[in-house]
Amino acid sequence: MDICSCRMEGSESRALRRQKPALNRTSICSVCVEPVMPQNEYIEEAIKRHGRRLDHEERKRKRTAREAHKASAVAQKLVGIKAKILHAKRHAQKVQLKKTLKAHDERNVKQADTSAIPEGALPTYLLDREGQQDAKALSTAVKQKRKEKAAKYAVPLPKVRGIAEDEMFKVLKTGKSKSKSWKRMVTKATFVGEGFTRKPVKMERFVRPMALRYKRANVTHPDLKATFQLPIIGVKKNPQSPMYTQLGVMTKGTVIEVNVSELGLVTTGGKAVWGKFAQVTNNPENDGCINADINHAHEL
Amino acid sequence: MATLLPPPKRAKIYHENSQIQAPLTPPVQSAPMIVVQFVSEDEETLLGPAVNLPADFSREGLEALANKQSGQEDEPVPFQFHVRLPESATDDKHSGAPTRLVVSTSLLQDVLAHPSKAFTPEDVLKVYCSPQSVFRVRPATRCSSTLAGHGASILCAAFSPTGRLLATGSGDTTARLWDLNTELPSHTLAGHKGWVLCVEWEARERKLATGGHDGQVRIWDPKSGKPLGDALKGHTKWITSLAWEPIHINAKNPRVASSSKDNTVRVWSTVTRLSEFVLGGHTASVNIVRWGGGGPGKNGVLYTASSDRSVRVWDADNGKVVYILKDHAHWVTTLALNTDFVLRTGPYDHMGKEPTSDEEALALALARYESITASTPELLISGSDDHTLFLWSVFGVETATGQPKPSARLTGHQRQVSHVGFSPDGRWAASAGFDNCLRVWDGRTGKYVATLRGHVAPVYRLAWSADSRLLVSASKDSTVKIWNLKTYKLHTDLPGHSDEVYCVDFVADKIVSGGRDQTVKIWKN
Repeated sequence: MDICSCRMEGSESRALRRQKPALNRTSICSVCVEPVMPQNEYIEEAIKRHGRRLDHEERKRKRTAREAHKASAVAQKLVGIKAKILHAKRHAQKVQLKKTLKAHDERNVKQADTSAIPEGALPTYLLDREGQQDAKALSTAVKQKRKEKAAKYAVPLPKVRGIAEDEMFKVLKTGKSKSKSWKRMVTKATFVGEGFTRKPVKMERFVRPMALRYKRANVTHPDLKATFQLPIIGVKKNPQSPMYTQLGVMTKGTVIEVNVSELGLVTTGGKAVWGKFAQVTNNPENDGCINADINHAHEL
Repeated sequence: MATLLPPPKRAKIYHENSQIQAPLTPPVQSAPMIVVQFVSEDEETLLGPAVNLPADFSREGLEALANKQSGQEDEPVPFQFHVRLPESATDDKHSGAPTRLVVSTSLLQDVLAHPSKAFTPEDVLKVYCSPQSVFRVRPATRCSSTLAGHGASILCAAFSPTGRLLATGSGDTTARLWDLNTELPSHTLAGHKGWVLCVEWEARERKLATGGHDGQVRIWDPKSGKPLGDALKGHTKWITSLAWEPIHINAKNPRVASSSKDNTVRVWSTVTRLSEFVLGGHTASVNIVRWGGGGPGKNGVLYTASSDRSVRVWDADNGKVVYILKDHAHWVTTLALNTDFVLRTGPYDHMGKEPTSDEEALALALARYESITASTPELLISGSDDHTLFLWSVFGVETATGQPKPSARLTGHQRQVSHVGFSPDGRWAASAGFDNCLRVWDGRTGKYVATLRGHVAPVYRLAWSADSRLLVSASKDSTVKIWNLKTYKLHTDLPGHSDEVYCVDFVADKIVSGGRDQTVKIWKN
């Protein structure tokens, strides 16, 4: 009888363990009905030191040869829900087996190779220039997406966490005796335009700290799997509130406009594209950088 | 008794104002008299004595005068008139500006009133006259049809010599034939096992050759759309370009040459379907092959350009190297001959007459070839990744060493040159570059003429209209643009493709373009 540490207390059980020290890996504790895991690697250690018993391979072969018969005997004997479960399991196994066999058969039969024609055909004058960076794939993928109308409103982050005002702003106490509290400091990352000058201290209701201002974002194109660091042009929409949009607050889920002119994209009319929308995917105030995904939904 | 006078009536106010403004209109100026000397552009000879004209003499009047001076009163020829700017006006400060002024209305408006102030009415104006074709191609303005069918990017397009059929090759391993009268698909040519990279028409429209990424060349019958035999196998890598033997040398069974990435060029006989000889010698990919009509015995020569920085000239009779031109510093990617157009269209001129026999076709093609080479020998322009082009007169000028020297080096592109093409009359050459612009050069001297700017991405291909008056370019920025060669500005923008345009061709007044968006577009007037 196998017993695990569930009954370790008590001298009687200790004596019992001394007699039968090695519980097998597959054995189940008869007391707590939990699989018993061997403590430490003593089995492997023993095999390393003394080797296996001489008829080990023979016994293994016989056991596997007998396995089918045993399984059949069990299957014939079982009734009720247990039989149902077992049959479902064996049926799944059989399907898997047949699939594997079929795959092996197909491997041996010669077939017309249809996959040999590589994708992305190029004219001869571009064939040797494959290494040149081709941001054009970006706009192609965008156009493909545009065709699929269903994808029109799919944004990388469809839902955003609501941010309460007291998390967004910190109240600053002002006045000689610090009794006034009309001043707020934005505690999230912000984008402040190029020509912005702060208002006089008396007038400035919202303070956007310099340490949380950002000018560039790491923009990923999900289909191209490439990331570019691009200058931010503006905050298009902060889903939390239009006031945050106005303040240029960038929280997770905010749509920003980035400058893609260095990627060399063009419209169908043959004009250069320079602004594109992207959605912020991280919490910039925690990470110290802005990560965003190019956003097809706001293309139009 | 002083009474206030009532204010004048409104109508009267207006009347008074108009009376004040009337003298502001400029007085009629009498145009100054100028001395004009007509010079023929071909031979730089004077057409006749200098004439004294009013400066606002119209272009049509100039044309009549020039025709009279050159003794062609009975059959007047349309002329293009231009005045060359002096060197001082085209110095570094104005680099990129055109070097000549084209007269489109009158000398007063186009030359004397030019902002550079290079000419005054006291000068003797040397007006260069270049005869133009008697027919005129109407510039395309609209997309007449968008033909879907190809399952992958369209990599090459070529009109047949008569312009009745169009062949396109695509990344879906098929080539397609389109009927241009109805603008409908006519045949699908399936057989290649890789992308179809190049299509080339025999100049008598009896056969079509296609070359694929699988290293095979296939010959097709365009009437039935059936293959003529199996593939011509031999190349170990993909085919980069194809060239047919000119009709004026072999009207019966022209051979076809194919250049390949595997550093060789093979010349195939379409009768025996065997490779007659293999031109080995290049040490890197051969990018382009052209079959010219010149050569020592006028029996045709093959020009090949390769990534090993050399251009080689081969004798088409025995496949021996005639010259090796090693002036480029980087891959040579494109070649153009000033006879390209007549070699490509063979016996068919703009009248569209069908030759009845091989002999007649040969005679017609020879006459057309000689009309081009009468004034200038066969010229070659090679464009390279070193941002320059060289103009060669390979068999025209004898040199002491026996090795031809380039007649001109055409510099100005700021990135690699992607394509170069001679106008059908050989007077102009245009080159397209990865620096988003096209440059126009004088086709005989290689002098810089103008830059055509307007594309916002690399320009991939260009094509000339049959009358040499229009130039069309295809670019990565998904547009096709038609350029005006009078003002050197954009004539018509043809947007419509949704992705890069890889190929463009121009025949009669139809333009065809195809690209990555898998559709063929036909543009018409």
